[in-house]
Amino acid sequence: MNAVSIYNLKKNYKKLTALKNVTLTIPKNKLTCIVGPDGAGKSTLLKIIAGVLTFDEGELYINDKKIVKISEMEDFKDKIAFMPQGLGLNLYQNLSIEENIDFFASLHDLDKNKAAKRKETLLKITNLYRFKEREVSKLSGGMKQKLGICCSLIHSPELMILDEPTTGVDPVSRKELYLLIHQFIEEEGITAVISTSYIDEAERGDKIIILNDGQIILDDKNFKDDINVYEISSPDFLEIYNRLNSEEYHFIKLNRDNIRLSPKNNEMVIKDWHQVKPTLDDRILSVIGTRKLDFIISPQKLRDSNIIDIKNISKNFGNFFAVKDVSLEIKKGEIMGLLGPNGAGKTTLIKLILNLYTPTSGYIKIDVPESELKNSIGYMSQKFSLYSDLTVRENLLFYGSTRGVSLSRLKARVEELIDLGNLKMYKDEIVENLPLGIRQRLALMTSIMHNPEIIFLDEPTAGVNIAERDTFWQIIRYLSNNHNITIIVSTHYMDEANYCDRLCLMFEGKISLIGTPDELKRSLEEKAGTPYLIETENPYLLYSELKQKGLKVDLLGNKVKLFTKDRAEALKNYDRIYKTEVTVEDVFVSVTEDEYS
Amino acid sequence: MNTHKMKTIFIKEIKELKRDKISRIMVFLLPVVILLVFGYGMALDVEKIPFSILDEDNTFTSREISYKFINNYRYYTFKGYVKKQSEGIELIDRNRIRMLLVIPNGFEKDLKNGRGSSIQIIEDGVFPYRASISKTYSNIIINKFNIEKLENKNIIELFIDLRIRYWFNEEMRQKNVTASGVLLVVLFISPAIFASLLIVKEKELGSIYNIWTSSISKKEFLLAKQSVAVMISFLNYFILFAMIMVLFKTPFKGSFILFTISSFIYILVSTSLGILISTFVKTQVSAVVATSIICIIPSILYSGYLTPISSMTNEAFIVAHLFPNYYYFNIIKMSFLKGFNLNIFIKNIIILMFFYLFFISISIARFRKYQC
Amino acid sequence: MLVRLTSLIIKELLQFFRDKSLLIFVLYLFTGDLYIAANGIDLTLKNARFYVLDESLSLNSKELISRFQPPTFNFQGYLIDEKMIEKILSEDKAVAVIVIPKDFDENLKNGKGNQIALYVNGSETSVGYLFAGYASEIVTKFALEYRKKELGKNLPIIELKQRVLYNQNTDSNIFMSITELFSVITLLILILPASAIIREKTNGNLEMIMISPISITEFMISKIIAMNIVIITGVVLSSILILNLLLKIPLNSNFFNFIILTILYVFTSSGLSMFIASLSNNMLQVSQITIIVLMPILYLSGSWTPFESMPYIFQKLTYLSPLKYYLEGSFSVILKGLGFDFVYKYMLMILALGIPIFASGAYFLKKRI
Repeated sequence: MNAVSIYNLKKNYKKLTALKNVTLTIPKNKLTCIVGPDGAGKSTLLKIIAGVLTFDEGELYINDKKIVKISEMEDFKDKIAFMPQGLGLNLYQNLSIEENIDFFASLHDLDKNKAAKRKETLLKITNLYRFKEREVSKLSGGMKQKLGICCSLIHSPELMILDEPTTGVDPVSRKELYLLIHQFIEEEGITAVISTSYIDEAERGDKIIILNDGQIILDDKNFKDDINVYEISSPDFLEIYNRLNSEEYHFIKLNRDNIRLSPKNNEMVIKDWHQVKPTLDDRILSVIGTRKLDFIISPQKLRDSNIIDIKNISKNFGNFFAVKDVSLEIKKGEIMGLLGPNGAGKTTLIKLILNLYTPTSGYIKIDVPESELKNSIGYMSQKFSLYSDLTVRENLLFYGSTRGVSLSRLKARVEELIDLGNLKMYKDEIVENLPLGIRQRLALMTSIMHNPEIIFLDEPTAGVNIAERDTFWQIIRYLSNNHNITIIVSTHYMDEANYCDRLCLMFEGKISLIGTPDELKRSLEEKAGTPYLIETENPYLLYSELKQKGLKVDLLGNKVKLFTKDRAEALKNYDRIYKTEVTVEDVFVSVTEDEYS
Repeated sequence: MNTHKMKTIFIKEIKELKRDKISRIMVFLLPVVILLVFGYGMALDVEKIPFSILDEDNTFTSREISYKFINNYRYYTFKGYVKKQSEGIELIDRNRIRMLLVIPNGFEKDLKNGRGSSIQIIEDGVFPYRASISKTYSNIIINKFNIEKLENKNIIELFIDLRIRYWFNEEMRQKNVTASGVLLVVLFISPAIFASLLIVKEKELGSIYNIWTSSISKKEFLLAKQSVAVMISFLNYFILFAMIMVLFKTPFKGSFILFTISSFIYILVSTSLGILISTFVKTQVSAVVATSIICIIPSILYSGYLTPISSMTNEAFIVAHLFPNYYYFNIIKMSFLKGFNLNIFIKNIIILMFFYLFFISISIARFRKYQC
Repeated sequence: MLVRLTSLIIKELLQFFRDKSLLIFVLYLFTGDLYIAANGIDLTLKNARFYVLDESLSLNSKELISRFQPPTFNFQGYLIDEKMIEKILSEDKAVAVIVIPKDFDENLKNGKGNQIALYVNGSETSVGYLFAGYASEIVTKFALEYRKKELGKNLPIIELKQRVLYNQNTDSNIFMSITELFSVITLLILILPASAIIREKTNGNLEMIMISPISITEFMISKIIAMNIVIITGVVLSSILILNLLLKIPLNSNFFNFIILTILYVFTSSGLSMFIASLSNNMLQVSQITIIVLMPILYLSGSWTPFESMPYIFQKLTYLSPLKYYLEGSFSVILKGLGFDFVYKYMLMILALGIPIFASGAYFLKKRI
């Protein structure tokens, strides 16, 4: 039984094609994840299903009823809940949590007593009950999203559509959101559709649909055609990488310590490679392909001197400590990743180093002459910081001339960067009309315009597709290895942590963990045990059982991830179980959960 | 219609307004500022015109006529004698005086000889309206002087006496019209901006999806939003009415209840126009700009507020009748100046109701619960 | 520094020209809006409709009425019934009704007193007063000429000759369009720099500026210079299109002085815009605060209400309004054709008032950023 069926759906906005020929079904009583980068057409698809957007061609069935005119959707509106994209954008910022829920309840004309009861249940499940009188504008991103879900669920809908509910939400809150949704599917039998740009989240759904450029590139049907993926992790992997011809591969992905690739020709052999189990990322990359930039990445240089020295730095706003007694040394040429939930102090720390905030106490020493400081720093802020009404070239010229690049060099430098960022075909386009990935690449180019010694990247790849992200990291790797530029990057994508030389996990203004990605994973495995995936008919039930036993578990779609040191114990109880790997996300979730408890 | 859902929207808006300091101030401050600026600023009465005299004749009669001007304190303010015409013109150039009265040499002699004589006024033409008014005042003074002289000399006994009666506004106090007419402008612009913002706000921020995805009908939603704007504007109406009565001391000749009813209907018209505009724009800034431009032209230019409808050219005359402002201004003039007339009242009210129904039904037709 | 400033200004101008709706709005203000003002509002007496109730129906009464000539007057016809007067006036069908008594002709011939009644519609105050003034002039002139003809000699009366400097026909359209131009300039100088600053703030570009070598002062100055360029260009455009081509005002050397006055005024008034920017968090607030600030400025300039008719406190306050000096200076230049040796005083006054405004606006904004 399908809640929604779509055949050959097409949608164009003025010039832009948003959806080309999409066919899919959404099963009842299941969680369907629609995954894709920004601009893939996720929002368009969800809005059409929610009945708030017209479409040009194709057929749409809701509960097996064909929708011919959009006005026919009105009959379903009390049965559908839709939460639009953006952190709590559909909530009323000046109203309290309770007032928001009350508004949605009476908008759907619910019985007062029933609504009050349901409100209490929802608030308690989401742990928002304590804050029910707080204004929405004072909530964190995660809390806003939870409230958004409460508001969409108040009228007990049959179909719940959430457009990117996890963007800008940290992994712990993300995990909680999915648990919440699973709980409602389990207990109330609703159907849920979620869109996300995080591929790792896709596994949390019962059904996965991967969208790219207005088309479905992967869903359950073509999952079975397997691909061959290899990893090269020999010490000379960089030299091998530089020699690879990208035409011969479906994709080549450069990680910190290895290369992951999938050859087009199955006969092909490269020494020292070993086959690995393809992940969802690999499958997607094999469809959309990667682009290897034509520069030679030199091997990592010896990193001995510190460029940034942070000693006991604190910053408080009123009596709230955004950063508390943080000490950190960053080596020249290093790629340092800053991870942490929203409000952990990552952005504040970056702004302190940038001298956008003055510290309350402590000091920061940057090994660059004072007078050169502003010209030695490149910064790509969290908010898109280019002038979107200027062209690519105009943006570059503007940044160069305002950052001390001499006029005689400016033209040549701009051309260099256009080449480096592979922006040639876009150079005279207005930035606003460009896809997000290109814009982010341009933002990176502007931040390195003046050959800075240190570059700060605050969530540079949010919403960018994974092939584009690989390109992005090739550039960052090149800058670090070839030019010995120090890079400090904050990100929400846990898989990106694998690109960093060192990771620094922040929590509530303090550093909780610091080390290389491998060190961190190993220490979690030592502490919590080996991770296993268990396939089961009713994952939610199993999850709750194991959780109650005090075991460390996570829910991934129809699988449960279990950490245990007692392998025999695990194998005894479940048939379909296999060993898996610790991810940085696991480390992150574990640290944050420890901190909370 | 589901009044429960409408009440929900209504209560939510009121709560939001209570929390949002800046828009709360704007909603109540903007009308008052417009009232003060227009009430005082549109006071077009030309009084106390500064002037100088160039008396080349320097005789008894020339001084006599000079004093007629000097002692007319309401309309003229004497700024001293000048010796040369160029000196006077320089004073005009420097904005010290607006008029120079020139009494030529031989003025008295010509008059005594039974010949006619002439004096000249030189006006600053930069402000044309003020120059014409000033000329009118001078004319009246000179004519009066002439008649007195002729009567004294028994050349004629009684002249043609033009008895002027200003109907509806005996003292010709301009403020009676400009101040009460502010209602025409304020109750048009400010409710329209407010109403359009109420809807565009949700469009811009994204909360419109809540409405789109709920089963509330277009009519229910728009009318609920409108009722918020109407309530606030109606409150403003009472504040403004009191201010007009107290600050500008305008007389009121109509029925307060009926005038209030007509103002209420006028607010219905302006808020529904605001809602109509909101179906065309996407951002709050463009709503403010578009609504102001669209509202200012009919309420000031085509309402009869500044220039009489009857003096308009034929096209403008027709255009004026196509805007609601003209009809409300009729009721304002009737209530503040002319005295009540049920026939005219009903006629104008009915036309205003038509505007309301027209605007609101196009708005409902145009408003969409989905994107395209 | 010069390089940075220039590229900031170029960027600002590029952004302005890319924003099509803003561009259209500004172009409309400098052309269409001025055109409407020139043709739409006319406070002088034009085409004033009136009716006559002529009970005498004599040649002389006809002769008198025929002196109410277009374009000033517009004779609508005769009434037969006194009751119709009220109807006509209360329905605003006419500005006035003239009533000529039955014995008009007789009394005129006998040299007896004669009473003509003029009922003016008091709800049309601006023209009503003018109508009464013009009518009394016409009637008096008629009577004197009649008497003169009868007596066959000149009467010892004083005739009033009027000379209106700089505007012989007392046409309003030039005045109206120039006044509107000043309002437009003031509106734009309040709103443009403020919105350019707030846009950077809401788009998150401000942080980039802060960590770059660009100083806050350079940042603010560049916005102001760029917007000044936009406004000055607009002023030149409307001077050519509206003032010169439409209203036939010659653009001679004095025009240059006008532009200097405009530059000074616009530059110093941008202090207010910075002040608005320092108060606002988003574009909506910019537009709202601008309306609140703009209205008193226009009022105090004296372009609507004559200085003399203002309440005492407001009269004193006008001395603090740079717009007043700009307006008077510009009128002197455009309409009176006065030269630099005359208007330099206005320039100095604008500077004297404007520099503190600019400095304090800059101070507030700097503190806020």
